[in-house]
Amino acid sequence: MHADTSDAVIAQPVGMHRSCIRIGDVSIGLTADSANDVEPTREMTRFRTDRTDCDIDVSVQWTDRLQDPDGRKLFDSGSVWILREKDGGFVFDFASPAFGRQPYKRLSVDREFTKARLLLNRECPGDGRRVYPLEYPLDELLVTNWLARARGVEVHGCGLVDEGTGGHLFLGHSGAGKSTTARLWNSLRAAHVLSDDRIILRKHSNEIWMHGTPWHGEAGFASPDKTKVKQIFVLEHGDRNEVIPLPQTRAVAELFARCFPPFYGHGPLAFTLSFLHQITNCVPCYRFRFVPDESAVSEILNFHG
Amino acid sequence: MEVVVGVEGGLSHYAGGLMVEDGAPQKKKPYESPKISVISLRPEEAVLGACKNSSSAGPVLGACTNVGPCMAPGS
Repeated sequence: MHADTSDAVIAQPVGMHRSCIRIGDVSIGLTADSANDVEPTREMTRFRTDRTDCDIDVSVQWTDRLQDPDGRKLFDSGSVWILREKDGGFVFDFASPAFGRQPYKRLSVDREFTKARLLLNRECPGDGRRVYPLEYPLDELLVTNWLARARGVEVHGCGLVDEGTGGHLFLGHSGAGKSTTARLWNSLRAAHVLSDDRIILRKHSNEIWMHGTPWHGEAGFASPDKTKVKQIFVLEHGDRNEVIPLPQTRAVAELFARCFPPFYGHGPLAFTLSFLHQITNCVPCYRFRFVPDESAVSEILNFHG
Repeated sequence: MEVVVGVEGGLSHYAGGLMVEDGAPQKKKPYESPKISVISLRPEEAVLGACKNSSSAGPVLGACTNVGPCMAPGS
């Protein structure tokens, strides 16, 4: 295989093998010459879909080495990925100290995040395990950027469906209690937990619905199901259980602090804020200071706005 | 990292003495003085840069040397 000489996005996917996954009603198609390169991981299997035309098409190729990155740097995550702008599209480079300075994979994608080419670097050895091309955070970056083009938003939260009281969304930073909340509701109420860490919000027929994702938290809950959002709670640790209504502006800010918008682009960022405003127009939002035991569940069950 | 929030309270769009939102006249809401609130932001989480793996119980960020699947990405 020759060294990569061009990062131009290929208009049509190439390869003999294809698989598709669907997360938050966003379908991603993987195409490659090898069946191994398109086979979803065990966690992704539940999100597999039979549809062949996808919202985002990614063609996977291996290369002996990746050229030094060029293009205008737009954003540095400070961790594994850097975003650049090049040839009218975007280029994400993924690098790890384990492999040195060069990227271990590179994604070139069009501006609307519908067509992409993923180059995997043969010079970056793994530990013998099969490499899943969309491995985190690439899959989530694709989805969040696609959603930000006027379609939806992903939030840092635990979404669950209680048979008696409907869909509840609990937002929180790391350590706020999302996984604890998921475990409590699942054990006490047999609630169906869509995810204990990442939820996608979308609008269907003027209603806000939440979708489960494969990107779970410590409790390991991940479901491809979806439900209408009845209430949103912003989690905080507390000495006692307390539900406090949030003014709309404050609610938008709290949601924004717990979502994953593309910070590099004015358009996607503006849409995200607008969409959060729409969400708070439709769904009541509260701050929930809670004690991490069964009383927290009772507090919500007995809360009637 | 903290982010300054937009203004709470204040006046919405007025038309003929009635607040108009989404094209439908509504009852006049009581005036609230504008105030600025500060919200705490977690940038390392918001940029999808954090993960957990078997060797760490918290965000690993740029020091991550595990290139396998993250046990609990950024949770």
